[in-house]
Amino acid sequence: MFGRLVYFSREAWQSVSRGGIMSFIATSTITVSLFIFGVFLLVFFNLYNLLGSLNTRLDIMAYLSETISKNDIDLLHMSIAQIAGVKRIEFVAKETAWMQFKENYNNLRLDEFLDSNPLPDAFKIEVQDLSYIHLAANKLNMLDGIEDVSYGGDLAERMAALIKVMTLAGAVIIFLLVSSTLMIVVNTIRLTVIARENEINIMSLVGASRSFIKYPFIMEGMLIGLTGALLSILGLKAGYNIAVLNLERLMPFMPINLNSRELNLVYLIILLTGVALGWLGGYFSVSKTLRSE
Amino acid sequence: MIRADKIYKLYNDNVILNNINVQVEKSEFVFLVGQNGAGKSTLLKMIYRDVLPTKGEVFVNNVNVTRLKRRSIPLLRRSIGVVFQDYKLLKYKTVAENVAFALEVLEKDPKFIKRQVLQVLDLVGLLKKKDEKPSALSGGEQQKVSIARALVNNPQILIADEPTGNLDPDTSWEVMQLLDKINEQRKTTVLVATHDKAIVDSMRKRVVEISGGRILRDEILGGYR
Repeated sequence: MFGRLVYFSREAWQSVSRGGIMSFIATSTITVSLFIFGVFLLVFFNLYNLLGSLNTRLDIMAYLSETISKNDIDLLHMSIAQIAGVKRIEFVAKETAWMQFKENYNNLRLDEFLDSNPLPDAFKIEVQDLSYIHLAANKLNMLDGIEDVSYGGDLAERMAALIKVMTLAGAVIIFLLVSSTLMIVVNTIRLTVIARENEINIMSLVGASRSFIKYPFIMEGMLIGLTGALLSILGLKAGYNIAVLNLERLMPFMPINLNSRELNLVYLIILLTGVALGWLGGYFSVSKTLRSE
Repeated sequence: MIRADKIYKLYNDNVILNNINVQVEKSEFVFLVGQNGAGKSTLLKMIYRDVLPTKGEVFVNNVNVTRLKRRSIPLLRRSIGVVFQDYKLLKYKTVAENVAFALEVLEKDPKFIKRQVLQVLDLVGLLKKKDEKPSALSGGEQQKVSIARALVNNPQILIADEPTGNLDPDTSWEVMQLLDKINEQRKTTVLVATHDKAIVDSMRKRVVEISGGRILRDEILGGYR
């Protein structure tokens, strides 16, 4: 088994080296395609995260007036509880909110610009379902002691619609990219197969198994796919860091950084797609020759 | 050993083989003669399952080759050595490497491969040229390498399709003598498709003549005519 693997790998490596310019073109195409695919995935994941950060769609924030007393806050809590559809009420003290805000946007270095806490006390109210949200928000607006009411429902819905469109458009683009890349890989390996047709015929005539004939070519495809994937991951890593730095400066209020688990997931998807593309490319190109024998 | 039973072959409505019935016993030496396009190569290809008959059956060692599953074809081919007019050698490999290749792809033990390669190269008289590339050899020598490669796995059957087609008469005679020696010494069943009248006439072996897709004659000690 190990000997087989060594043989296949050696043959695949020799074939890629002999392939010269065609191997280079196939690897570059895979690199570019996977890079575009990776950019799409990163944007998609970021938008998805952004959607989550726009509060849940059922949350309403009711900001209280500066002058409200502790007693009034308790009364207000009771009034809010009586509004139809209210499921949970949470008092968010301005100190807590400010700390949270500074933590979320530590890149803004807010302490350098602001001496005091600009945020008011607030109630975070969750309604039972989306149908209550407009009515509850209107009623909250009418209560004394409440200065402002906001809820992320509209924006979240628009964001979700945008992600839906992006997913559809992305799927079409990725399908076109993947199929054209696959064709290039198939044709590159076809050239190797044609160049080695004599060898394949001899193998077949002396009784080599079909898998023994096929695997070096499949491994060749996988090697091209793997190299392309690794190169595109390198590009994505460098590009992403630069993009994040610039975007944070341009849009400081947008949470655009993915955590390392999400980033690694994107890179893993790219790696697996590259290897799978190479595998398929190798498989199709050599199967055609073996079928036509 | 080999039996073709009521074989028909059509290519684009052209009848290539028309009711062929022939049987070859173990250790026989048989010449298959006939004009170009008579169907000799097609019949040989059916034995190692490179071509399927349109109708009829081919048996090798009592195995119905026409019904063989695709994954079993390699096993059949390991019992048959094939030699072609154009040698089909790999130009980037040496003589010994070309012969060894046939065993390497069957994943045989390297020591066994080395022993077998030296033995068959000795048999075909090319031991001294084992490290040469095919381009440094004459046509006759290249054909002998091709025969060595076909023999290295000790096949029971050796099929040679116009093996002397590219060779001068003296070299052709040498190659045929080699095939005869293999048949005599190793008891390998040898089937040779050829045009070479002089050789067929002088070797006095069994001759099966195909013409227009039919067997015209089958003589035990035949000549070319």
